[in-house]
Formats: sequence, structure tokens, C-alpha cells
Amino acid sequence: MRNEARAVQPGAVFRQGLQYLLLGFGGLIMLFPYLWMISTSLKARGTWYNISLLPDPLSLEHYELLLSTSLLPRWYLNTLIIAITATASVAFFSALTGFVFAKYRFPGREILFVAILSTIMIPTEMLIIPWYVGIAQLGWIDSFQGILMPGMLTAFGIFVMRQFMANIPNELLDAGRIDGVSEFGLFWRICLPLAKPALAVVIIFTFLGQWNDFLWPLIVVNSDNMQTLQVGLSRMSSLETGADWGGTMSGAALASIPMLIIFLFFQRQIVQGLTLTGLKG
Amino acid sequence: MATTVTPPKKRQFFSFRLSLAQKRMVWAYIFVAIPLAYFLLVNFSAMFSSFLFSFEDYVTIRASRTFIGLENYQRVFEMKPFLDALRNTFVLAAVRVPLLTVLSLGVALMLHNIRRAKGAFRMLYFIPFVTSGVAIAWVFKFMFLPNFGLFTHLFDLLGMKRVFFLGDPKTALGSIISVTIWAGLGYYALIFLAGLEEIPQVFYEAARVDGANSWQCFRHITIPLLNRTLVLVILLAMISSLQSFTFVRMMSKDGFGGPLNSTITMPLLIYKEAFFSMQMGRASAIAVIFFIIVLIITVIQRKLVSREVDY
Repeated sequence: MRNEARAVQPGAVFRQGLQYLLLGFGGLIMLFPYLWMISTSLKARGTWYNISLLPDPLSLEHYELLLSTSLLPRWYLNTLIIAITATASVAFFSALTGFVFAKYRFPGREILFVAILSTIMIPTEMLIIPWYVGIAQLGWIDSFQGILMPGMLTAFGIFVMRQFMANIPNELLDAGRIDGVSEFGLFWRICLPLAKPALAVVIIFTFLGQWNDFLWPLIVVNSDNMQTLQVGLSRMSSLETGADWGGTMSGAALASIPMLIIFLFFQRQIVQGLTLTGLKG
Repeated sequence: MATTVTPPKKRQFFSFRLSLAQKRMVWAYIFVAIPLAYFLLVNFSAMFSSFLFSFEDYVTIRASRTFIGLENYQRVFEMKPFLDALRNTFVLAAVRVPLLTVLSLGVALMLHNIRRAKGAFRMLYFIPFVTSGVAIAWVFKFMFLPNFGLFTHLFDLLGMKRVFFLGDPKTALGSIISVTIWAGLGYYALIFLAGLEEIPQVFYEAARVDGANSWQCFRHITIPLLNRTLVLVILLAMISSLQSFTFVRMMSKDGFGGPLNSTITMPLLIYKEAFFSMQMGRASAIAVIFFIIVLIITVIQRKLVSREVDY
């Protein structure tokens, strides 16, 4: 209504146009590095310094080289294993813990919840040294367990699940109890299916975070075979790239494209997740 | 009739209720036992260890660890790289946070105002949030290349003096900061956008009826009602700025904050001291100092911001 009223005002059209112009210009700045990355990755070997957005001749040889001779496929697999394991763990335990904090009353509930949330305030940089010492004692350096250790549960996940599950009516649980559902069954069969939207947010954010995680894997990983995608990409040398920026750009493209695709599919959940943290933070 | 029956009934009812509540309580503790133990171990005990290490002479290759009191802290404050890291971290935060806040608010306002293709534009600005920092760093490193880089060509085209971006101590930090702003813009714009959409349209309609112009609406409706979001954005941007690691690690000349320590930040220095100089004790002391700085800035700035804008 207000929009239509403004549309007939002189100046409103101009103002809309100006905003589109500014947003478009900004959008070009946002998009251009990606176009440049893709374009360079498709240029033939030894032509990366050509200042043209359209590769001529168009060539897939950088991708072929990376996928056939480098360990990049292995790094993909490592990253997938780590991201899936961590995401499954975070999803399950966050949901269970969120369920307890939303639906049970017990001594120490408030203090424990605040304690868990307060871990968000501790910078990772302060924890990496003790973590490293710990996993070194366990012999987990350069292993999946070592990389996975700090990310199996997050305060963010618990927070999101608790906020959502608090809105599930208690009557549903009581009805379940009367029907003889076990306490775990109340969680697994009643609350969890109802909390799917929140669970989706937790899963997407955890997977995204794991996929792009850099600092901790960088410390844990030593051998070529154990690299995660990001760590491997950061250490790419002429061996992988064929001493060509086109090779580096195709590596960067291969590392970021899966997340871009996931983002296209789950845009709504990602925006929703941000809103959740944004409004309650 | 009631008086004779009530006492046994009441007791029975009471004991039944208690045992059920207790049973549930026990289940609650069973369910949260593993998560709580995990947080205790991975976060709280690790934090405690960090404090402990900072008072020890602890070098990775040596097996022995000896208590040396505050010596690590003393030595850290005499280290030139530490002072450089401190300065760079503050500069980075002081430049990045205001710019990021203003720019993302601007983008959010425009996204809020436009009527078509809102989703497409929103997506465009948000893409870097889902892209790995390593990939972004490589692309910009490529564009910042001294002779063949795209920005050099652009500067030539515009007739500007050539700049060595990441190779010059004067421009290296600025170049990295601009990339971190580019990468963070969409995320904060999206948080602002969520806040803007929460403001009821009625306020604007009422103000228009009273003859308020756009600036007055923005100043007296949007800003006060966006206060909570504003505080959150500044807080998040501040924390992420202080914790800059990936971009400086990837884009600084030698990976350790070069040239001439012009881009070294606190997280990068902690990483370098702990895992390359093998000085676990000294690195822990730096980490503790870093933690205290982050804590103080967060608390102060939360108070300041909410006081300034709130009325």
C-alpha cells in the first residue's frame, strides 16, 4: 500500500533507480572475483596473465591436471568424511541437549545453560595449544579423530535447538507419557520431528563451518594424504598447479563450488539461521 | 468425609509425583551427561590449561615443563612482533568495524527499499559468506599480483601510480582489510535486513502523515529501533576482526605477517610462536593476553554502543 502510494510521487522512481544502480554496482564488485576465478581457471596453460574475461582458447586442462595428478580428490573425500561425521554428531547432541534444556526442570539448569553459551566467548586461538597437546598425548596428530575432536558439539547448535523446542507444547509430551512413550522416545519420536526446521539450520551451518574450517586442521594435519580441502588448497604448490595461476584458480573454484550449490538450495534455511542468531544474540 | 480420606490420599499422590519428577530429572542428567563432559573437557579444562601453560617454560621438543611465574608475560611485552601484532590487530579492527557497519547498513537499507529482485541481490552480496576464506584469499592474491595482477592493470588504466599492494609494508594491511570487508559485507547486511524487517511499517506511515522526510524517518525511527541489531553487528564484526587469521595467513607475503610484520595479527602470532617457534609457554601467554583483550573490548563496547544510540 505504502509502496504504491510512493510510486506515484515524483522522485520516488528516481530514488528506486538510484538504489538499483548502487546495488548493481556493488553486486558487480561482489561477483567479479568469482568471474575472474572461473575465467582464469578455464584459460589454457601459460595464458593466465591475459587480461580478458573470456578465456581464449577455452580449456579444461587445469581441472584435468588437478583431478588426475594431484591429491585433490582425496582431500575432497577427507573433508566429506570430517564434515559429515561432525555434522551428524552436532545435530544429534545439540538436539538432545536443547531438548533437555527446553523441556526438563532440574537443579543447575540455568547455570549449566549459561556455562555452555559462555563457551562462544572463548576465542579458538586460546584453546588450540591445549587441544594440540591433548591430541598429541592421545596419538591423534594427523588423524580424523584429531581433526574432529573440537567440533563434535557446538553451543550454537544447542542454543538454536533449545529456542525452537521451547515452543513445542508440553501437552504433546504429556500425551506421549500417558501413551507409555519412554523419555528418549519423547525426544526422538515427538520433539525431533517437530524441530526439523531448526535442525536443518544447525545441519547446514555446521556442515558449512566444517567444510571451510582452516585454523585447526592446519595445525593437526601433516601428511599429504590427510589434508582437508582447505588446508590442501592453502598449501598448493607448483606440484599441484603446474606453476600456473590457472591451476590455483581451478583449485579455488573446486573448493568453493560445492558450498555455492548447497547455498543455492538451502538459501531460506541459511537466512533463517542468521535471523535466529541475529534476533536473540 | 473429606477430612478422613485426604491424608493418606495426599501422601500417596505426593510421593507418586515426587518419584515421577525425580525420574525425569535423572533422565535429564543422563541425556546431558555426555555434552556437559565434552564442554568441560574441550572448552573449560583447555582454557584452564592455557592459563597454566602461560606460567611455564614449555618448549615442544623438550620434555620438561617448569613453572617460571610471569616471565613469559615479561618477555612477550619486550617482543617486537608482539607489539606489531597488537598494533595491527587494533588498526584492523578500528578500520574494519566502522566501515563494515556503515556499508552493510547501507546495503541492507537499499535491499529493504527496492521492490524487485530483492532475493537475487541479497544472494549476490551473501555469496562470500559460504565461500572458504582460503579460496577467496587465493583469488585476491592473484588480483593483487604486482605486475600482472588485475588491480595493477586497473591502476594503469586509470592513470594512477602503481602500488605493490601485498608487497609493500605501507599498503599490505590495507589491502588485506579491504578483502575482509568485501568478504564480510553480505553477512552483516543480512543481519541488518532481518532487523529492518522487524520494524513495524506503522511508524513510518505515522511519521509521513506528520510530514517527516526520509532522513528524519531514518534518524528517529530506523536507528533507534535498530539499536539491538546495531549492537549485535558491531559486536560480531569486532570479534571477527580481532580473530583475523585465514586472510592474513594466506595473503601476507611470507604467511607470517610480512612484509616486515606489517600484517601480523594476534592469532597469527600465537600460531607462529606455538607451532613454528615451538614456544608453547610463550604462545599461551600471548593467547591469554589476547583473550583478556577480546573480553574487555567486548564488554566496554557493548556498554558504549547501547548507551550512545539508546534514548
